[in-house]
Amino acid sequence: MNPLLFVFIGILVGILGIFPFIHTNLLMELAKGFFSDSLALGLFAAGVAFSHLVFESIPVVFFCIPSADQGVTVLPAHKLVLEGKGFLALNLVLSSFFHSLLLSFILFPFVLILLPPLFTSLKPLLLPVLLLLLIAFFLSEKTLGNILLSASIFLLSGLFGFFSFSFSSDALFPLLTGLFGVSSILLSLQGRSEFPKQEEAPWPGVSKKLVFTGCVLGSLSVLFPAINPALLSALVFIFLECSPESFLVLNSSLVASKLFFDFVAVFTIGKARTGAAVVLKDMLHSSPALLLIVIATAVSFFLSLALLLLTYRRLVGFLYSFNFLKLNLFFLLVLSAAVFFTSGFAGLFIMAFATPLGLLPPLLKLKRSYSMGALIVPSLLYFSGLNYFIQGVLS
Amino acid sequence: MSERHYVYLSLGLAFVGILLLVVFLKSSGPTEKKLNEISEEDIGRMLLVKGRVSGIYSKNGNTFFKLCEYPRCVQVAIFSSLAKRMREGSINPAGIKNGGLVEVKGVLKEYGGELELVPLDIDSVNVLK
Repeated sequence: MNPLLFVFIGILVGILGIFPFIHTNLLMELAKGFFSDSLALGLFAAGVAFSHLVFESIPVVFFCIPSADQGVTVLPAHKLVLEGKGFLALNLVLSSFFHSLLLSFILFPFVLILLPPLFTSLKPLLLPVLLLLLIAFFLSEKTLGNILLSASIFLLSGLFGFFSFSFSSDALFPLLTGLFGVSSILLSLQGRSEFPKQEEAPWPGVSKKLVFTGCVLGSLSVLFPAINPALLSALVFIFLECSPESFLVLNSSLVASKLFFDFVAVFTIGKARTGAAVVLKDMLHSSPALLLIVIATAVSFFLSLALLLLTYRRLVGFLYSFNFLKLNLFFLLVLSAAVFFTSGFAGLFIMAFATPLGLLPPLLKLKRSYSMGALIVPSLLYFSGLNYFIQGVLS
Repeated sequence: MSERHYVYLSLGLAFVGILLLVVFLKSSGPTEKKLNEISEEDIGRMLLVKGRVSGIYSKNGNTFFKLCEYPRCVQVAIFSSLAKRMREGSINPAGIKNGGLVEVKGVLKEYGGELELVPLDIDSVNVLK
């Protein structure tokens, strides 16, 4: 079979991103056994990864269903959806992907050269910078009461996140689902009986500065295994929560560039940060092989984007034709079932406790980003090595 | 840019990508070389090489042998993950015998100052005789 066909098959499989709880890692794990040729598998992986990224934007934006990559996109997108600006939110996400990937292709040769030396030199600086950012985050509250309250929610979420990750290796999806998915659906059900009418929005311009920042952060995030895109986005979200549009642009740029540079990192520093990148380890042995993958990612992304742009109105219109209450209850059921199938009873337990944690900040009229402690605190503990100390004390 | 522009631009870029992929895929096949022609310049390239097997042994699930064509020999390393996949695909790497003529497709690497051919796929080692 012509290897090019594997890119197209990957794109078709990636459309399953419409159900974002079917993670790319799961798809790759299932598909691996069908390939005897590493080149075919690599092209398939590139097809799946970028098609999945594009198609998961629909449920993430319109139905508060968080994916592992775009988990934090749910919050600002949902805010816009409730204001009837869902199409604007989706357009912002997709155009940010587009510009960020174009920029990633331009930055690609530079990153190829700079990544290996940066890998060794940047690591020691990261922890102090992150801690300073967090202090600034709390001090952004106006009163002492709010500072203490927000810090408490942050730490409570953080401890819960840490225990969840220690308790289950599949904790990310249930945690994100509880914090941002189920809680957002429950909040949107308050006093509402139908979908907010979505206005047609002209295709928005995106801030070049934000796309550039997101793209650079995405390229650097591959250097640090403990710093996932959700954490980086969470930190940026802290400062940009006032503008959901800005956050969407920055976060989407970051996510797209991170996915692309994950593939590049396999070749440059030999580190694979995603399931799709792991399967490339065998195949990325030379610059021509890397170039093949880079082109395959471009084909997958641009074809998927064109396909989604041609169909998204009908898709959203179809989903919005259902009864608001019933569809939201259906999504709650689907999310619970997805959590159960991916993470078992442990996942359901994590989701059940994460939901009230996700509801706390909006009910106390505080920023929802404080729930991000659930991702930030465990990452900081793992990154600093303090996780062993805490686990030791607790055991 | 309007939505229509994004659609056209995306389709155009995808089309260019497909053309590039076709061209690169045509030129990305393994380079057929004689053992005596292999040099350090080939490191990182996918090569297709014929030779006789000698000194075959297994260690920790990995299979190693020398691929020889007088007067030159190059080490071939079939790592455990591939050996496992080969067995699952009914190909037994242990079935490769000393003295047998084989054709190996693999990436040329350098290990411990020596050139080493590393097959990547389950059909990378063909026993010819």
